[in-house]
Amino acid sequence: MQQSILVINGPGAFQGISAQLIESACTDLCKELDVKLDFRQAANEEDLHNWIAQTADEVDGLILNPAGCSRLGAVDFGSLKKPVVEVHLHNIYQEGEESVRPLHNRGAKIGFICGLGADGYLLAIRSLAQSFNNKGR
Amino acid sequence: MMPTLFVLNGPNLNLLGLRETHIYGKETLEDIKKACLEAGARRQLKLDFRQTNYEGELVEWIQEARTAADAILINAAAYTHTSVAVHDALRAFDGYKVELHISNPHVREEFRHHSYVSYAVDAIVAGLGTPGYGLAVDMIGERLAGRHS
Repeated sequence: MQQSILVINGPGAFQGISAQLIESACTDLCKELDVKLDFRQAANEEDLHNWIAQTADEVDGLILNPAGCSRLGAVDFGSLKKPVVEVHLHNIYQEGEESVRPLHNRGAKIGFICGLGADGYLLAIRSLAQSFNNKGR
Repeated sequence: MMPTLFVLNGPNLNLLGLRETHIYGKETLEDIKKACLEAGARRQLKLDFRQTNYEGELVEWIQEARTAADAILINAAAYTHTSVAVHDALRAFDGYKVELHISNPHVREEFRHHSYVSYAVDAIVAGLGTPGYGLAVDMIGERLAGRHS
Protein backbone atom coordinates (compact mmCIF):
# COMPACT_ATOMS: atom_id res chain seq x y z
CA MET A 1 0.00 0.00 0.00
CA GLN A 2 1.15 3.54 -0.70
CA GLN A 3 2.56 5.27 2.38
CA SER A 4 1.44 8.75 3.30
CA ILE A 5 2.95 11.86 4.85
CA LEU A 6 1.08 14.73 6.43
CA VAL A 7 2.87 18.09 6.43
CA ILE A 8 1.53 20.55 8.97
CA ASN A 9 2.62 24.17 8.98
CA GLY A 10 1.94 26.39 11.94
CA PRO A 11 0.71 29.97 11.62
CA GLY A 12 3.45 32.13 10.11
CA ALA A 13 5.58 29.12 9.25
CA PHE A 14 6.89 30.39 5.94
CA GLN A 15 8.49 33.69 6.93
CA GLY A 16 8.58 35.22 3.50
CA ILE A 17 9.32 32.06 1.52
CA SER A 18 6.57 31.16 -0.93
CA ALA A 19 4.31 28.46 0.53
CA GLN A 20 3.30 27.47 -2.97
CA LEU A 21 6.89 26.94 -3.99
CA ILE A 22 7.52 24.71 -0.96
CA GLU A 23 4.33 22.74 -1.51
CA SER A 24 5.03 22.12 -5.17
CA ALA A 25 8.60 20.97 -4.41
CA CYS A 26 7.19 18.55 -1.80
CA THR A 27 4.53 17.32 -4.24
CA ASP A 28 7.13 16.61 -6.93
CA LEU A 29 9.41 14.69 -4.58
CA CYS A 30 6.53 12.64 -3.15
CA LYS A 31 5.48 11.69 -6.67
CA GLU A 32 9.03 10.58 -7.42
CA LEU A 33 9.14 8.50 -4.19
CA ASP A 34 5.59 7.16 -4.63
CA VAL A 35 4.39 8.64 -1.33
CA LYS A 36 1.01 10.25 -0.75
CA LEU A 37 1.24 13.85 0.46
CA ASP A 38 -1.17 15.98 2.43
CA PHE A 39 0.23 19.52 2.82
CA ARG A 40 -1.61 21.84 5.20
CA GLN A 41 -1.36 25.29 6.69
CA ALA A 42 -2.91 25.79 10.12
CA ALA A 43 -4.73 28.99 10.90
CA ASN A 44 -4.26 28.54 14.65
CA GLU A 45 -2.88 26.21 17.32
CA GLU A 46 -6.20 24.40 17.57
CA ASP A 47 -5.82 23.15 13.98
CA LEU A 48 -2.34 22.00 14.78
CA HIS A 49 -3.45 19.95 17.77
CA ASN A 50 -6.37 18.36 15.92
CA TRP A 51 -4.33 17.46 12.88
CA ILE A 52 -1.51 15.96 14.92
CA ALA A 53 -4.02 13.79 16.78
CA GLN A 54 -5.42 12.67 13.45
CA THR A 55 -1.97 11.58 12.27
CA ALA A 56 -1.97 8.64 14.66
CA ASP A 57 -4.62 6.84 12.63
CA GLU A 58 -4.51 8.20 9.14
CA VAL A 59 -0.94 8.72 7.98
CA ASP A 60 2.44 6.99 8.23
CA GLY A 61 4.61 9.97 8.98
CA LEU A 62 4.34 13.61 10.02
CA ILE A 63 6.37 16.68 9.11
CA LEU A 64 5.74 19.59 11.38
CA ASN A 65 6.82 23.20 11.07
CA PRO A 66 5.38 24.53 14.33
CA ALA A 67 6.79 28.04 13.75
CA GLY A 68 6.13 29.99 16.91
CA CYS A 69 3.49 27.68 18.40
CA SER A 70 4.37 27.32 22.02
CA ARG A 71 1.74 24.95 23.36
CA LEU A 72 2.90 21.91 21.40
CA GLY A 73 4.89 20.80 24.43
CA ALA A 74 1.59 19.45 25.69
CA VAL A 75 1.24 17.06 22.77
CA ASP A 76 2.22 13.51 23.67
CA PHE A 77 4.40 12.74 20.66
CA GLY A 78 5.67 9.60 22.39
CA SER A 79 2.25 7.98 22.10
CA LEU A 80 1.87 8.91 18.45
CA LYS A 81 3.75 5.81 17.27
CA LYS A 82 4.43 7.47 13.94
CA PRO A 83 7.71 9.12 12.97
CA VAL A 84 7.73 12.90 13.23
CA VAL A 85 10.22 15.33 11.70
CA GLU A 86 10.25 18.89 12.98
CA VAL A 87 11.31 21.40 10.32
CA HIS A 88 12.17 25.07 10.63
CA LEU A 89 13.17 27.15 7.62
CA HIS A 90 15.80 29.13 9.52
CA ASN A 91 18.45 28.13 12.03
CA ILE A 92 16.47 28.80 15.21
CA TYR A 93 19.68 29.37 17.19
CA GLN A 94 20.54 32.49 15.26
CA GLU A 95 19.67 36.00 16.27
CA GLY A 96 16.04 37.00 16.13
CA GLU A 97 14.76 33.43 16.50
CA GLU A 98 14.93 33.24 20.30
CA SER A 99 11.19 32.67 20.67
CA VAL A 100 11.32 29.36 18.80
CA ARG A 101 12.32 26.31 20.80
CA PRO A 102 12.56 22.74 19.52
CA LEU A 103 10.12 20.05 20.62
CA HIS A 104 11.66 18.23 23.56
CA ASN A 105 9.24 15.43 24.38
CA ARG A 106 11.51 12.98 26.15
CA GLY A 107 11.94 9.69 24.32
CA ALA A 108 9.68 10.61 21.39
CA LYS A 109 10.76 9.70 17.88
CA ILE A 110 11.22 13.19 16.48
CA GLY A 111 13.73 14.23 13.86
CA PHE A 112 14.90 17.83 13.76
CA ILE A 113 15.93 19.93 10.76
CA CYS A 114 16.52 23.67 10.67
CA GLY A 115 18.29 26.24 8.53
CA LEU A 116 17.82 24.54 5.17
CA GLY A 117 14.92 26.62 3.94
CA ALA A 118 12.54 24.71 1.68
CA ASP A 119 15.13 21.93 1.32
CA GLY A 120 14.44 21.01 4.95
CA TYR A 121 11.02 19.68 3.93
CA LEU A 122 12.57 17.65 1.11
CA LEU A 123 15.17 16.15 3.44
CA ALA A 124 12.40 15.24 5.89
CA ILE A 125 10.37 13.57 3.14
CA ARG A 126 13.39 11.56 1.96
CA SER A 127 14.14 10.48 5.52
CA LEU A 128 10.55 9.36 6.19
CA ALA A 129 10.34 7.54 2.85
CA GLN A 130 13.55 5.67 3.68
CA SER A 131 12.18 4.64 7.06
CA PHE A 132 8.97 3.34 5.42
CA ASN A 133 11.03 1.23 3.03
CA ASN A 134 13.21 -0.17 5.80
CA LYS A 135 10.15 -1.17 7.79
CA GLY A 136 8.70 -3.00 4.81
CA ARG A 137 11.79 -5.19 4.44
CA MET B 1 37.15 21.84 -9.68
CA MET B 2 35.26 19.46 -7.40
CA PRO B 3 34.17 21.07 -4.13
CA THR B 4 35.55 19.50 -0.93
CA LEU B 5 33.45 18.46 2.06
CA PHE B 6 34.96 17.56 5.43
CA VAL B 7 32.78 15.15 7.42
CA LEU B 8 34.09 15.44 10.98
CA ASN B 9 33.08 13.12 13.79
CA GLY B 10 33.74 13.58 17.49
CA PRO B 11 34.25 11.37 20.53
CA ASN B 12 32.90 7.82 20.87
CA LEU B 13 31.56 7.71 17.34
CA ASN B 14 34.25 5.10 16.60
CA LEU B 15 32.12 2.79 18.77
CA LEU B 16 28.99 3.13 16.64
CA GLY B 17 27.23 -0.17 16.13
CA LEU B 18 28.89 -1.50 19.28
CA ARG B 19 27.36 0.67 22.00
CA GLU B 20 23.80 1.76 22.83
CA THR B 21 22.46 0.45 19.53
CA HIS B 22 18.89 1.24 20.66
CA ILE B 23 19.83 4.93 20.36
CA TYR B 24 22.47 5.03 17.63
CA GLY B 25 21.56 1.99 15.51
CA LYS B 26 23.56 -1.01 14.39
CA GLU B 27 25.50 0.65 11.61
CA THR B 28 29.20 1.21 12.23
CA LEU B 29 31.14 4.37 11.43
CA GLU B 30 32.67 2.46 8.52
CA ASP B 31 29.13 1.85 7.12
CA ILE B 32 28.36 5.55 7.48
CA LYS B 33 31.61 6.51 5.78
CA LYS B 34 30.69 4.26 2.86
CA ALA B 35 27.23 5.86 2.55
CA CYS B 36 28.79 9.34 2.68
CA LEU B 37 31.38 8.48 0.02
CA GLU B 38 28.63 7.10 -2.23
CA ALA B 39 26.48 10.20 -1.80
CA GLY B 40 29.55 12.38 -2.33
CA ALA B 41 30.46 10.56 -5.55
CA ARG B 42 26.91 11.02 -6.88
CA ARG B 43 27.15 14.75 -6.19
CA GLN B 44 30.72 15.06 -7.43
CA LEU B 45 32.11 16.03 -4.07
CA LYS B 46 35.59 15.37 -2.82
CA LEU B 47 34.89 13.94 0.61
CA ASP B 48 37.23 13.71 3.58
CA PHE B 49 35.69 11.62 6.39
CA ARG B 50 37.37 11.66 9.83
CA GLN B 51 36.77 10.76 13.47
CA THR B 52 38.62 11.75 16.63
CA ASN B 53 38.16 11.41 20.35
CA TYR B 54 40.27 14.52 20.99
CA GLU B 55 38.83 18.01 21.21
CA GLY B 56 42.05 19.69 20.06
CA GLU B 57 42.26 17.49 17.00
CA LEU B 58 38.69 18.38 16.06
CA VAL B 59 39.58 22.07 16.42
CA GLU B 60 42.65 21.62 14.22
CA TRP B 61 40.63 19.86 11.52
CA ILE B 62 38.09 22.69 11.46
CA GLN B 63 40.99 25.16 11.16
CA GLU B 64 42.45 23.06 8.34
CA ALA B 65 39.10 23.29 6.54
CA ARG B 66 39.55 27.08 6.27
CA THR B 67 41.90 26.53 3.35
CA ALA B 68 41.13 22.94 2.36
CA ALA B 69 37.32 22.62 2.29
CA ASP B 70 34.20 24.30 0.93
CA ALA B 71 31.87 22.82 3.51
CA ILE B 72 31.87 20.99 6.85
CA LEU B 73 29.38 18.41 8.09
CA ILE B 74 30.11 18.02 11.79
CA ASN B 75 28.90 15.59 14.40
CA ALA B 76 30.80 16.90 17.40
CA ALA B 77 29.06 14.31 19.60
CA ALA B 78 29.63 15.08 23.30
CA TYR B 79 31.79 18.15 22.52
CA THR B 80 28.63 19.71 21.06
CA HIS B 81 27.48 20.40 24.60
CA THR B 82 30.80 21.43 26.16
CA SER B 83 33.18 22.96 23.66
CA VAL B 84 33.50 26.70 23.19
CA ALA B 85 36.71 25.88 21.30
CA VAL B 86 34.80 23.93 18.64
CA HIS B 87 32.28 26.79 18.46
CA ASP B 88 35.04 29.38 17.94
CA ALA B 89 36.80 27.26 15.31
CA LEU B 90 33.53 26.86 13.38
CA ARG B 91 32.92 30.60 13.49
CA ALA B 92 36.29 31.10 11.87
CA PHE B 93 35.30 28.86 8.96
CA ASP B 94 33.60 30.86 6.21
CA GLY B 95 32.29 27.96 4.13
CA TYR B 96 28.97 26.19 4.43
CA LYS B 97 28.57 24.26 7.69
CA VAL B 98 25.99 21.81 8.96
CA GLU B 99 25.66 20.25 12.41
CA LEU B 100 24.52 16.63 12.49
CA HIS B 101 23.41 14.23 15.20
CA ILE B 102 22.23 10.64 14.79
CA SER B 103 19.69 10.97 17.61
CA ASN B 104 17.78 14.14 18.44
CA PRO B 105 19.48 15.70 21.49
CA HIS B 106 16.32 17.65 22.40
CA VAL B 107 14.34 14.51 23.22
CA ARG B 108 17.15 13.14 25.38
CA GLU B 109 18.67 14.15 28.72
CA GLU B 110 18.53 17.84 29.56
CA PHE B 111 22.33 18.15 29.56
CA ARG B 112 22.21 17.50 25.81
CA HIS B 113 19.72 20.28 25.07
CA HIS B 114 22.28 23.02 24.77
CA SER B 115 24.65 23.04 21.79
CA TYR B 116 27.62 25.35 21.35
CA VAL B 117 27.76 24.19 17.72
CA SER B 118 24.24 25.29 16.75
CA TYR B 119 25.03 29.03 17.03
CA ALA B 120 28.00 28.66 14.70
CA VAL B 121 26.50 26.69 11.80
CA ASP B 122 24.10 27.36 8.94
CA ALA B 123 21.87 24.36 9.46
CA ILE B 124 21.14 21.43 11.78
CA VAL B 125 20.07 17.88 10.95
CA ALA B 126 19.32 15.60 13.90
CA GLY B 127 17.37 12.51 14.83
CA LEU B 128 17.23 10.98 11.35
CA GLY B 129 19.38 8.05 12.44
CA THR B 130 22.54 7.01 10.63
CA PRO B 131 20.88 7.54 7.20
CA GLY B 132 20.92 11.26 8.08
CA TYR B 133 24.59 11.38 7.06
CA GLY B 134 23.97 10.28 3.47
CA LEU B 135 20.96 12.57 3.17
CA ALA B 136 22.94 15.53 4.53
CA VAL B 137 25.90 14.90 2.20
CA ASP B 138 23.50 14.69 -0.74
CA MET B 139 21.87 17.98 0.23
CA ILE B 140 25.21 19.76 0.81
CA GLY B 141 26.44 18.47 -2.57
CA GLU B 142 23.38 19.91 -4.27
CA ARG B 143 23.95 23.29 -2.61
CA LEU B 144 27.63 23.45 -3.46
CA ALA B 145 26.91 22.52 -7.06
CA GLY B 146 24.48 25.45 -7.25
CA ARG B 147 27.07 27.76 -5.75
CA HIS B 148 29.89 26.68 -8.08
CA SER B 149 27.94 26.81 -11.33
